[in-house]
This record gives sequence, structure tokens and C-alpha cells, in this order.
Amino acid sequence: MLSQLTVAILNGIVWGLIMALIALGLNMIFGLLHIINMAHGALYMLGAVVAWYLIEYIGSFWIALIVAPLLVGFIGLVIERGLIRTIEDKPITTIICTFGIMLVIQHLVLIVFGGSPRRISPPIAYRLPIFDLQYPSIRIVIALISIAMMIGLWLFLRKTKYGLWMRAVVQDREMAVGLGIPVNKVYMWTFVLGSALAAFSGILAAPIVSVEFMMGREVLIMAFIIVIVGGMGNLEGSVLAAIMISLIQGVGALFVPPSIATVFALAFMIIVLLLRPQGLFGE
Amino acid sequence: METKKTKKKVRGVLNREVSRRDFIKTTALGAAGLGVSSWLTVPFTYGAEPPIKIGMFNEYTVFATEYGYWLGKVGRTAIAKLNAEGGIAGRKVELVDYDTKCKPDWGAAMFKKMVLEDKVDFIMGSIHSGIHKACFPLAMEYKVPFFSGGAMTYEFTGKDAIPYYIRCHSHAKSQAIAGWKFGFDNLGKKWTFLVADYAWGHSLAREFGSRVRAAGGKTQEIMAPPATADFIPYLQKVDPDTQVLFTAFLGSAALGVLRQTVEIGLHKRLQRYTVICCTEGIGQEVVGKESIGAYYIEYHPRHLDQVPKELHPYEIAYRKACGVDADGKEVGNPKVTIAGSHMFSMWIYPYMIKLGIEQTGWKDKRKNADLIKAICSLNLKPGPWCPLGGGLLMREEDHQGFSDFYISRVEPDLKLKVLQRIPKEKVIYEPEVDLRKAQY
Amino acid sequence: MTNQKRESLHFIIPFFLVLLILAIVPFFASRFFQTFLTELFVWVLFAISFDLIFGYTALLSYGQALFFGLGSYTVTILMRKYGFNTELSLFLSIIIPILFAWFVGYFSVRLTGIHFVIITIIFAIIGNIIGETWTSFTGGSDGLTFSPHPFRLGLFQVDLVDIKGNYYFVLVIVAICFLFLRRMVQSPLGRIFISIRENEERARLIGYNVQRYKLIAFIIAGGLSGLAGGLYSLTLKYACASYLHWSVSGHAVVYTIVGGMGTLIGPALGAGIVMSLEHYLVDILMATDLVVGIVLVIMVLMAPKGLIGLLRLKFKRG
Repeated sequence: MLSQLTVAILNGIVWGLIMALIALGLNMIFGLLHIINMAHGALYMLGAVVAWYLIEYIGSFWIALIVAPLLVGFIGLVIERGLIRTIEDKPITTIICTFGIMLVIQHLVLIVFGGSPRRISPPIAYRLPIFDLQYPSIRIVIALISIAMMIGLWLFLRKTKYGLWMRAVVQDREMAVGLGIPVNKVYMWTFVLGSALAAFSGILAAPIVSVEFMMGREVLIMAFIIVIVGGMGNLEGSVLAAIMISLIQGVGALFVPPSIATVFALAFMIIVLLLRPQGLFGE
Repeated sequence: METKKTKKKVRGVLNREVSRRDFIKTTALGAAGLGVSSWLTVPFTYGAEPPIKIGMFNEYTVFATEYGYWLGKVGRTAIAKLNAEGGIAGRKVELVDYDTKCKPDWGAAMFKKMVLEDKVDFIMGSIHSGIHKACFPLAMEYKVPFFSGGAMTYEFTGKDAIPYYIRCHSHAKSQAIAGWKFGFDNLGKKWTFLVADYAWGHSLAREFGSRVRAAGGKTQEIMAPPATADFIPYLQKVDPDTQVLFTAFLGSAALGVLRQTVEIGLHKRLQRYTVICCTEGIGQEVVGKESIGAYYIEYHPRHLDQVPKELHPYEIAYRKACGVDADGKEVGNPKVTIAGSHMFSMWIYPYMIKLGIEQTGWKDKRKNADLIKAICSLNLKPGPWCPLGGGLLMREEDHQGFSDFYISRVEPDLKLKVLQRIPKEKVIYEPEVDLRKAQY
Repeated sequence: MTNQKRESLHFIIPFFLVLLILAIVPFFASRFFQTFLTELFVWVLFAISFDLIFGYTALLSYGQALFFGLGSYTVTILMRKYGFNTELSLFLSIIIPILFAWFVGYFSVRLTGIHFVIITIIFAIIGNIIGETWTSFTGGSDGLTFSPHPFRLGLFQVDLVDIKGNYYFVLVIVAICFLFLRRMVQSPLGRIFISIRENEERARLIGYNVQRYKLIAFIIAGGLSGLAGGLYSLTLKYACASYLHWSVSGHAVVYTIVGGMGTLIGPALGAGIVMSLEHYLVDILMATDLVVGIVLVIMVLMAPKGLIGLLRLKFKRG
């Protein structure tokens, strides 16, 4: 029992960090710009698919991890400049627009990439022994990357000019325009960064979840929940929310049927939402 | 060097281009204004009689597309072959083909469209049980014979059976009857079922589990959400003394569970057992080396050399017509794996319809009852239209068909090697309904 | 007053004209077109009930699938397992979702904006998980079927297995609901809804209990979504757990935004257009998600306020 509990807690934290990484890009676009980007899951999937092709032709996971987000970021740029820019101030309309974009991306991937899942082999195969079980160390590496990304993003938002601009635009758009901040550009770069982060997390998750054209669908909704429960634009909050969900699911599954544990985790999220709608760490 | 080679090969097989061609094909046809795709190879001399119309729907988009691709392809090939051989009773056969989007409501809408607008005489296809169930009232209402593409809910030919539903392939119960004993005798007496927490997973756990328990074995059930990505919380719940881990998931979750069992080292202390449905149309190369040693129940072998020798003449022709090579890959596209254990249904149904029509002199739906009765009392020997081990025995009582099963294991070269063939006679169970006197 | 009268005439005449046309459709349209329209009416009801909560109180509820699914399960399970008659089970397909909407709404309306979206999605996900896993009761993803018997409704004998009977039955109920909702949004209650949408703070300052009114809108919308689910089940004689999936709510969201929110007629129009595209593009382009997606993007870019918004703009200009 003790060994099971240890693994459950370790995995809960690690998986929570992976989920937080997936939610990170959404936190940018959605938490900062308040655009409900339904295509986020599709961009996450696109990252993994592009990486699969890169790995196929170049052979290196790590190169793909750098190049694919750049490519998907570029696609994000096209989407933002070409489609979303005109309706950016109408959050409701962006839901349908990005939903349409999601359908298009998913279907194009189905046509080119095919419908059945494919594999990206984990770049690190070492397994960590824990009691009588083993633990795949790749997950721990991803969790660490997740922490590093979050610290990096935190520093970016706090210490750079762009970060300052982004926060200013979130707080008061009119004022930001008055202060001479290029709001238009800030929207663009935030969207691009968010898309690239979605792709980045897609690639890191791919060795665990397989690459498939629908892989973004379920993930999208969990990521939304994490971002909202954690507090929009609040990085620490979403980490904590993600870890709580996966801990309740993982530890709960030791005692009750897994689906019930998922229901518990969701019910807990409802309670948190009601008690702290401003987010876990919000004032 | 050796490892590098296999690695290359593994990657080579991963790439799939299934749906592109499927899509381009359909789109090109669509653009040409041919909404309804009729796949004729031989020009017919039009007689007085109108064509016989068969409607087909499959999961071409959204989910389970690896099935839809192959069921669709085989169905189209079969109709083309039927027409090349002179159609049915001198009438040409026309095929109408739609996507189910893997949704019961859309599937039912397409069923209505095929019956009411395209005026089809028969409908076949789909592997989604929910879609089948949603179409049951429609099949009864419109009196259209409905041939199952690959729905695995056994109640469809059990307590929920309707006279218009015909199924030539296996289901959860016949799979359990065929497969439990091999597992029990050879793999172990203590089983853990780690299955998807919805109807299909439940029925497999119930059918296999009850038989194992009745024989004195021990079972444990873990139901995980169908789209689980992280299996570690559930895998570590597996009892320490479990000998057989029976898993049932579809798509990427199926790959996840097989891989993660190995990742946490469980595969060393237990045997993995599953039905081919889990990784059908995916290929063991995609699952990876982690699948080596896993046992599968197949309903028709994937590799040609594993197909029983006596079937080879038919099997080779069948594969050639459908564009499948000896390894169960698509010809010219070795990254695509066949859905070999399911797609044969689309090959056999057109022929069964032909036999039924020839035997009953069917002209239109007024004789549907006789036709269904004739089709459901067929006993097909292996042949060009029935490349199945043991042929196909249809049963009049519940409209269920039987053919041989195979127990296979994933070898180190990632091939599915048949270890045992289960003749259909061992699988036939008592029918649970009697449709012979049913109201049509 | 005269202005309002004229406005209502502007509505009443076209409404009954459309109804009349729809009433004679079965005499010349194909049977498939009738079944298609029947389904369309159900989704229109679902969309306008969603419009009440979204268009009039600005609460984007993704939980409507929960009530739709509950309604459809109420009808299916009561008729299949407990032998209830059609009228009673259809009536209960409003009542039971109302009770659930009360519960869900009680918590949800405390939140606004995106928080409301997420909390309603979570409730729908929980409903879907329970529906999928409780297979002995719900049939899970396989679903349940039933067969309704013909019954008398006043002067009429209603046979839901008959395509025409089904068509008229659904048409009449949806038309009544439409009038009911229209009456409601023009009543004092409806004006309170609108004032909440326009400026929640002001409505509160005037002295309205904003949360209570939101809850009322949520409950009514839930009940009518349930009715839509019940009618859908009566049309298909089938219900399954995937009706509870939050993406079903997405139908209503799409129809409403494409048509124009807060207009009632917009969502109906949106449902008509999107569903026709899906059903009739099948013949030329397989109506793949690709086509539907492109159409949706173009539509919202060309008419960000929905088709009704676009028409109004044209009217003003022209």
C-alpha cells in the first residue's frame, strides 16, 4: 500500500506538471488576451504531428522539440493576422471562429497524416526503480522542463518590456493604447507565443500519449479547467490546480473506481471555483 | 547495426496516408458532381430492371478511422467485383457511401438519408455499437436489412435482436467463448481486467470474467476512462499475484496501456492478453517493442503465412483485390496496416445478398423477410467470397454468423504469430432468441 | 404602444406564414426532407432555449447538453423500463431537467463570464461520465431504444412511428415553445433579463435580485433543453450517453452565434443554415469537418453579429 501511495503521489505531481505545461499556452492566450481559443487543442496536436514528421526525416527528438513549435508558432501568426485580428474584441465570436479553425486543422491532419495513432519514441528510455515498480524517467524530465518553462515565462512577463506590455494590455486596454503600447503587436506576439507553447507541450506529451489527429480534444477541456481554476494568467495557480486534479484522480483511483475518482476531482474543481473564482492565488 | 535497421523499419511503418487518398477520392468525385459514388468497373447493358442499391456507412472521420478506411475500401472493392461478375440476377449493383462521423445521431441521419432519399435496398457497415442501436428502430420502421460492419455488442443478436439485423462476425461473447480457455490454461488462473469504462469494456470484462471465475479462477476489475492517457495510477492497482492482464481500450489509449505496462515493469510478472480490436488497423510497429509477448485474439490472421493453408488460394485473391500485401500492409503504402479481423464483413455481405436474392427470387423489399431468412440459413464453405477459416455458418435463430478464431502472440519481429486456431464449432453457443417466427 | 403593436404584427404575420408553409410541406416534400425538418425543429428548440440563457442573460452555458441528455433519457428510460405513456414521459422530460437545472444553476449563477462556462462544462462532463459508466441503467455509449405506441392527444391520433405524425407533433410543440419564449422575453421578466445582460451592476442597484433572475432563466432554458432532448428521443426512439457530452451544447452555441444571439429567430435560422449545409454538402463534399469548419470561419468573419445582425445592418443601409 505504501509503495502504491508513493507512486500515486509522485505520478500525481509529475502528471500534474505535464498537464500544467499543456495548459501553459492556453494560459497565455486565454488568460492574458481573454480569447477562448478552441483551436488550442488542435495546435497542441499539430505540434506533435509536425514533430513526428521532423523526427521521421531528421531523426532527432530534441531538434524537433525546437523546430516544431517555431513552425506552429508561425501558423499561429497566420491565424491571428489572417482571421482572429478582426474579431479580437468579440470574445464570443472568437469561440466559433477558433472552433472552425480547429475543425479545419484536425481534418487537414486526418487527410495528410492519417487517422490511426502513431508513435514518437521517448528520447530517454531509462526507468527509475521505485519499490517493486519502475517509473519512466522521461516523465520526470518533462515535469522538470515544465517547471523551467514556467519560471522562464514568469521571468519573461515580469522582467521584459514585452511582458510588461502584455500585463498592461490585460489590465486596461484603453490605457495601454494611450501609453503608446503597440496593443496590436502585443496581441499578435502573445497569440504566437501561446501557439508555440501549445505545440511544445504537444511534442513533450507525445511519447506518452501517442500522436493522433484527435489528441487535442480531451486535453483542451482539461487545460481550460486548469487555467480557470488556477486563475487566469496565474502560472502558480494553474500548476497547483493541475497537480490537485491529477492527485485526486491518481490517489482516488487507489480506493474507488477510476471514473468515480475523476468525478471527485471535477466536483472538487467546482468547489474551488465557487470558493475562489478569482483563482487559487488570486486576491 | 541491427537495432538501427529495425528502428528505421519501425519508423517506416508508422507513416500512414490512409485518409488522404480516401479523402481525395471522395472529394474528386464530389467535385465532379458525383455525390453518390457508384463504383462500377464494367459498363452494364441496361436492362429493364433498375440497379440494386446497397448503402454503406463507416467511420471515415473523427474516431475509429483506421476501421472505416478499410471497411470502406473492402466494401467498394467487393461491389466492383460483384458487378464485374455480372451483378446480381442480371441487375447491376450500386453503392452509396457515407461517413458516420462516429456519432449515433449522425449515423442515424445517414441511415435515413440512404433509405428515404437514395432508396437503398440494403445497408451495411459501421463498427460503432451506438450507431447500430440508433439505427435499429429505423431498420424496423423502414424494413431495411441492416448488415453489421463490426459492432461488438453481443446483445444485438441476443436479447435485443431485431429481425432486420444480420451479423456475420464475432462479438464480445463469442470472443470470450473462443478465447478464455486458452488464456486460462496457458497464461494463468488469476486475471485482472483493465478495461475502458464504457459499454464495450464492461461487456468484455463480464464475458471473459464470468467464464474465468466459473472455472475456478480469480478476477479483478479495473475500469479506466476510455480516453486515459496516463495509465500508471491504474496499472499499479493490479494485484501482485495477477498472472493475466486483460486490457481493452481503443486507439491511442490501447497503445498507451501496452507501453506503460512495460514502462513500469509489469510485463515481467504477468502475461498480457487482449482482443485484436484494440490495435486493429494500427500495426504492432506503432505500438512498439513494448507489445512483444502480448497475446491477441484474432478473428482472421493479419499475416498471410499465418492464414490456414487451405484458404490460401482465396486469401491471396482477396488480398490482391483489396490491395493488401502478405504482411497485412496496404500495397504501395507499407505504413498502413489492415483491419483484417473486421473488414472481411464488407467482403462477404454483398455475396450473401447475391445468394439470398438468387435463392428467393427477390425483386424488391416485399420479399425482404424471405431474403433475410435465406441469408441467415447460409452455410458458406471457404471460397473466393468467403476467405474465412471454417467458412461462415449463419444461424437462423439470432442472425449471428460463426467462423474460426485465432490466438496469436506478438513475436520479437513484431509479427502476430498464430498459436492456436479455435474452430467455429467450439464457439457456437445456444441462441438467446428465436427470430424464425418474428414479425417482419 | 402602437409601435409595439406594429412590431408584434411584424412578427406574427411572418411567423404564421412560415408555420403555414411548414404545415403543408409534408404534402409535397420527400419523406427524407420531412425527417430532416423534424430533426431541425428539435435543434431549433435546443438553440432557442440556449438563446434564452445566453442571448438574454449573457451566460454562456455549456451545460445544456446535460439537460438535453437528461430529457432524452427521461423519455427513453420511462417508456422502455417503466412503461410510461408518451405524454407523461415527455412532460417529465421537462420536469426532471428542471430539477437538475435548479441544482446546477443554484451553484453556477454565482459565477459569471468564463467561470460560468467552465462550471457548466464540468457539470456536463460529470453527467457524461455517469451516463457512460452506468451501463446497466443508461446503456452507456450503446444507448437504449424503445418503441412509442400511438396515443390520442385531444382530437388527434398521434403515431410517432409515422414520419408525418412525428413531423407535426414536433412542429407544433416547437412552435408553441417558440411563442412561449418570445412572449417571455417581451414580458417584464424578459426585460429584467435584458437589463441584466446590458448592465448587471445597474440591475442590481435598481434592486433586482440578479442571481435569482439568472437562475430563473437557467431553469427555464434547462427545462426546454430537456424537452428538446425528449423530442429528439421520440424522433429517433433512442437515447445514449453521448447526448450528455458537452460538445452537444456546442451545437447550440454554433447555431446561436451564426444566427445572431438574443433574437430567438437568429438561433432558429442558424440551426437551419448550419444543419442544411451539413446535410446537403454530404452529397457533394462529404460534409467533412473541413468544409463545415471553413464555412463557420467565413460566416463569423462576414457576420460577427450573426446573420440577423448582418440583415439588420443591410436594412439600415438599404
